[in-house]
This record gives sequence, structure tokens and C-alpha cells, in this order.
Amino acid sequence: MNEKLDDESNPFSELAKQPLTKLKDSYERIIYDEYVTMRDGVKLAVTVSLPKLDDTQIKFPTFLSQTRYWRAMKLRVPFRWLINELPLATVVNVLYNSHGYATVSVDVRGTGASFGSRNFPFTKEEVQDGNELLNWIVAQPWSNGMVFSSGGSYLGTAAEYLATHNNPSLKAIVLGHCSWDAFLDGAAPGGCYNHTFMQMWSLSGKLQDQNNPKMFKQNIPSFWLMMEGVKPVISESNPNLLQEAIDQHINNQYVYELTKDLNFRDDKLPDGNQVDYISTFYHKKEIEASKVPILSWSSWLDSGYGDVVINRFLNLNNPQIGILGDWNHGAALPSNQFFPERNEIQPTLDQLLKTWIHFFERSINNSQPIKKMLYYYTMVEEKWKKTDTWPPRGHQYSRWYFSDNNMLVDIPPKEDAGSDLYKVDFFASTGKNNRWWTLMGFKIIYGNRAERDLKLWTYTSEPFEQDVEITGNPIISMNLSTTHQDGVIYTYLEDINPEGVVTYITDSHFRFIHRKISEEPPLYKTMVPYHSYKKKDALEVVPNKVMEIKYGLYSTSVVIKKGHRIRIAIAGHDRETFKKYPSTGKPILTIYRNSTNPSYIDIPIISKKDLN
Amino acid sequence: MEAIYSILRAELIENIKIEFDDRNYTVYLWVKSKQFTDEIIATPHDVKVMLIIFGGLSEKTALTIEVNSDSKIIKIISENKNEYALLKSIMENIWDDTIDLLEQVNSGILTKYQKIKYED
Repeated sequence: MNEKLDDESNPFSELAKQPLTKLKDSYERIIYDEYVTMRDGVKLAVTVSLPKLDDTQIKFPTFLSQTRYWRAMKLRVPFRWLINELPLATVVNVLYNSHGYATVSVDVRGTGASFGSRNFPFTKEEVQDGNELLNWIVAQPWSNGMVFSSGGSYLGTAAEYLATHNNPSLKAIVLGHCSWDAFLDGAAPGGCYNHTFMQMWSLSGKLQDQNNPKMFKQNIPSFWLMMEGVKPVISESNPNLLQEAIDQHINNQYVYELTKDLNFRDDKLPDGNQVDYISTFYHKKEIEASKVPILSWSSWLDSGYGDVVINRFLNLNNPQIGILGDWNHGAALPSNQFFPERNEIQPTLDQLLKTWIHFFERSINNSQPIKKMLYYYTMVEEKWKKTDTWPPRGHQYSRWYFSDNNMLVDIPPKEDAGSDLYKVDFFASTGKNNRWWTLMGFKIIYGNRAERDLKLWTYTSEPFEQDVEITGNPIISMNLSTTHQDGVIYTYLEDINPEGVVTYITDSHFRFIHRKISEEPPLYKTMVPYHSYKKKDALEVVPNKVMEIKYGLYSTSVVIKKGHRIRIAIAGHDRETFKKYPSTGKPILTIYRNSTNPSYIDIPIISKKDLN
Repeated sequence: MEAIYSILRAELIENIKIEFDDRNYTVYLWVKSKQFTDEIIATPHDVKVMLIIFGGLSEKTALTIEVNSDSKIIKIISENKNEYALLKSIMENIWDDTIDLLEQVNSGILTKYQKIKYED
């Protein structure tokens, strides 16, 4: 089924229809910090927040979050004279506590106020800690034996790893804006090293692990104003505990140093494992064996994390709900490129949290079994839809060929000759508010791309004669050559309105050496051509020799209005975001567009005829 | 969030009393909040950072800050009349300025925030 939700509906209102039970409107909470000792003696800092009730025999389900970004903050004065937590944490904990949930927040080993060190994120030891924490929670006198976990970004991945343990206490997970394939979603999308993000993320992690709030000053000003560091676990017998923990973090290693020369999926991490080991898709069997219900949510515009929701939907047989919207990383800011003036985010934090509570409650209530369903937002049409299959019914590809005079046409080229030269402009950039920088929490603003497109090579269609819905991953197929032995192609899909405003829809990029379409079974089911990104499959780039390059753009859902045009804009670099390939030289690309070597894009449209 | 800031403003005004001793160029802060139970109420550095971030005090301004965690009273002593006048003008509005800054930042207005001269 494909179904549009009512005008006033969205997945959050639909999934949270029933009123939630609330303990009290206003009450006190019990908040305390303690260290929990792991099997190898490493102490993890934990903050527990419980509803304070007259009946002390009442036991609670627990919401667990594991973070590397500080489980709780020590506030600056004057705030710490008044409150225990940042207002954001207060909102989350108050809401969960008011609905009868305990909350447990943990600094993962090597971070925050926890002891230990880490070579990279999600080491075997860190993942195993998750299982121990589940067992520790259910052994607490206030626990009713049921644990839920949710979180965004790092916390989401940590929640997904909890499902690999098949621990019966874990009842459901909510995974927001987080990775599935660490190589493609984060480190090296399209085989190109995600230089800026990896460097910024490493630096901010290093600062946090040394208890320095500096990274928030630029990225999250309201946090920086209110806090001075991680919340310590106070010990009367040892006032230096926090410093002792921080001293152990000196041994941490950071992903930028470990991966800055990453070229292939099978390159090794320090412990000999490959990047795939820290990808949750690698643990698909264990996640499915747990049968834990999953709510997976993200945005079309957030890095590669929109495709993650689709990949989970396609690959995991757990009871599952997916949600794909139009906001930035973490859903803190609106990011629909067609409505840049919007300031208010839908859903609100309150709506999100209540939806998660409903999901947790449904996961333990057999009367409302969770059916596999994907909710997605179609931009410009500004409607939420839902489907129980992906791609949605009516999905078909419409092919658009690159043609002469920078035109994009729907008929194949007839001439034997036809090509365009593009001298790569290494100053071309999408700026610092793109789908990759949002991983640091920034708003996504591509703006009117008319001027930026002057640095790129473009193919533009005639105005559309009717509204057309694009939903899914566009697939680009290009025949091209370069004057150098390495290189990358960047492809942007854009909408041009009758006034000439150019609006970003989606994009992707691809490093030429990875172009072999692998015949091996894919690592997981995907909607785009499968490249292994392994060293053995790398193909040489011979200067001036035609290569066929076929790859997917990130999924989207948008309506192209009657009278609007679509544009494909092509670049060879995105200066402020990705590593430069080749590292030196001024390559010239030849884009072929003739009957022997055509170049085209397959655009996924939803055929109204098929739907009817 | 707006509701929380409104509560915070009221709590600051109610729970942290500010008194001025013009003769001795001294400002007293009295933390009356019952929720705060830490043994050490603040370090002099914590108080100075508060004045820099939320009051716009220059880091170079010489102040003597004495913290008495038992009585929960903080003495901020200026060296001369001019510096005291500046300190007093900061402290007269500090809780309003603090919450205003938070609200501005939360709304994406960073003009005042970007003028803060303090590095961790």
C-alpha cells in the first residue's frame, strides 16, 4: 500500500494517537551518579533519574542511552546553583520520568567521566559493555526488567548494537540519524574520504575526552553558555576521580588519524578488523535474532543517513517502523530547501519523545503488533505518506539523457559524436551548510544554486508539463574520461523554478577507481548499483580512456511542479568537505553524450497511472 | 525551552541575592537555593567566568573573589571606584542579561554571543 496521510497528520500524530499514562503532572525526581564496574575493571560513569513516588515498591521500565558526548554536564555558575542538568536533558528526563520510565545515561568507556580508553568507536569492549549495562539495570531494585534504548547519531548506533546481544531485557530500540555502513555513510561516501567531518569529529571528541567544552562554543552555543564540562561522579573518599578518568583518555585514538589515508572498504583498523566490523549491517544476523522492534528515523537531507532508514527497511526482518523527514541531523532545525524561511521544526522534541514512548509501549503490548511501515515526507507537495514496501508502489524510472547545448532530454542521442569538456574547478563548493556538515549539528542551507552552478557543468530540462513526484534514489550513468589517473564526479539534482531559482534536491559523488559493478552478492540489499569498494576490485584510471561510471544519488522525495525544470550539475570537487582527487593537477573531464557512449540519469518517479 | 528560560530567570532572581556595599567597592552574592548541595559552592575562577561570559567583564579586570561555601556567600571586591562602578552596573542586570543571552542564542541570534571574550 501507498497512502497519503491526512493534511493534519504526520507519523508522530498517527503513531501516538492514544493518550499516554502519566504518573503526575508535577513531582520530584531522584537523580544520582555512580560508577558501574565492567568485567575488566573499567568503571563507567552512569547517571540515573527516577520518578520519586510515595509508593517505593513501584518498579520502572528503563530508558538507556550510551553516549560519547558526555552523559550529563557540569553546569557553569550560576546555573548549577539551581538545576542539575541542562534544560534539554531536563526536558527528556522529565518527560520519560513523568510517564513512569527510569532513565540511565552512560559515558561509554574512554569518554566523559568514565575510565578506560578506546582505539576507535564501537570497539568489541564498548559493545560488550552495553550488554553488561542491560544486566546491571535489570538487577537494580527500581527496575521492572524491561529496557528500551533510543538516541540520535552515536547514541542511535549504540542502541542498535544493544540488539546484537539477544539480551531478553531489551524490548525495543529507536535509532535516529545514525549509521548502518560506517564506510559509506560516514568515512568515505562514494569512496571519497569525508575529510572535514572526520577531522572535526575527531577534534571535538578529543576535546570532550579531555573535558574541554570548547567544541560547543561554535557548534552549539546554548550548550557552551551553560556548561563547563562533564558531570563528575562525586566520591567523598577520592576527590580526584574525574581527573584520574580523564588521564586514562590520553591513550585514546581518533578516527581522523586512523583513517585519513583510507581508500578501500577492506583497509584495516588498528586491531586488524575492517571498518565493516564497526558497521551495524555487519551484525544483521544477531540483530534479527533478537527480534527487537526497531523504529528507525532520519531525514532525506542528512548525510547518507536517509538511505540508512531505507537500508534497514530493506534488510532487517525485525518488526520495524521507518520515518524519513525534511530536517537536519538530529531534527533540531528545519532543512526543507524549498522553504528556507521556515524556522520552526516539526516534529517538536515533545512529539518525538511521546512517539518513542508509544513505540516502546506497543513493543511490549501484543494487542497492537508493530507492522513494517515506512513513513516519508514528500517535499514541495508537503505531505506525509506511508508504504509497507520499498520502493513504493508506482515506482519506475524515467531516463533523461545529457544532450547538446547543456540540455537534458528524454530521447536517446542519435549522433555518433557528442561530448563536453569540463575543466575541474577545485574551488567548487557546496559551502559549510551541506548534508555532511550537518553531522556537526548545522542547519542545511544550499540556497539558490544559480551562482554556484556557474563553476559546474550543467544539463537542464525543458519545463515540466505536469507535476511529477520523484521518490527514491536517482541513478546516474556516465561515460567519461579524465586527463589524470584519479578523480571524482559529483552530481547534483536540482529544481529550477520559472523565476530561475535553483534549488538543491539531492546529490552524490563517486571516485573513479571504484567504478566496477561487483558481481559478488552485495553486503546488503540496496537500491543503487553495487560497488564493493574493495582493493581487489579497484580499476585503473587510464588518462583519456572512456570509463562507464554508474552510481546512485541519495534518496529523496519531492514533487517537480508544472513549469519547473530539473537540472543535473556536475563537479569534480567539493572543496570544504571532501578530500581532493587527484591531489595535484588540473584535470579536464570529457563527458560523452552520443549514441555509442551516452550519459543519462534514471529518475525514480511515482506513476499516478500505476497507483490508480 | 522558552518556558524553562522563564522559570530559570525567576529562579535566579529569587535564589541568588545580590547586595552592594558601595563604601567598600564590594558586591555580595548570596546563594539561597536549597537544591544546591555541593560542598564547594564555586571557585573564584567559576565566578569570574560567569562575569566575563554573562556580564561582559574584561578578563584583565582585577577583582578579589572570596567564596565561603559554609555561608554560601561570595564577596566580589573591586580595586577602585571606577572598576566598582563597572562591576555594579554588570551585577544590577546580570540575571536578566544571562537569560536574554540564552534566549537570543537559542533563537539563532549570535551578535552578543560572538562578542564574548573567553576561551576554555
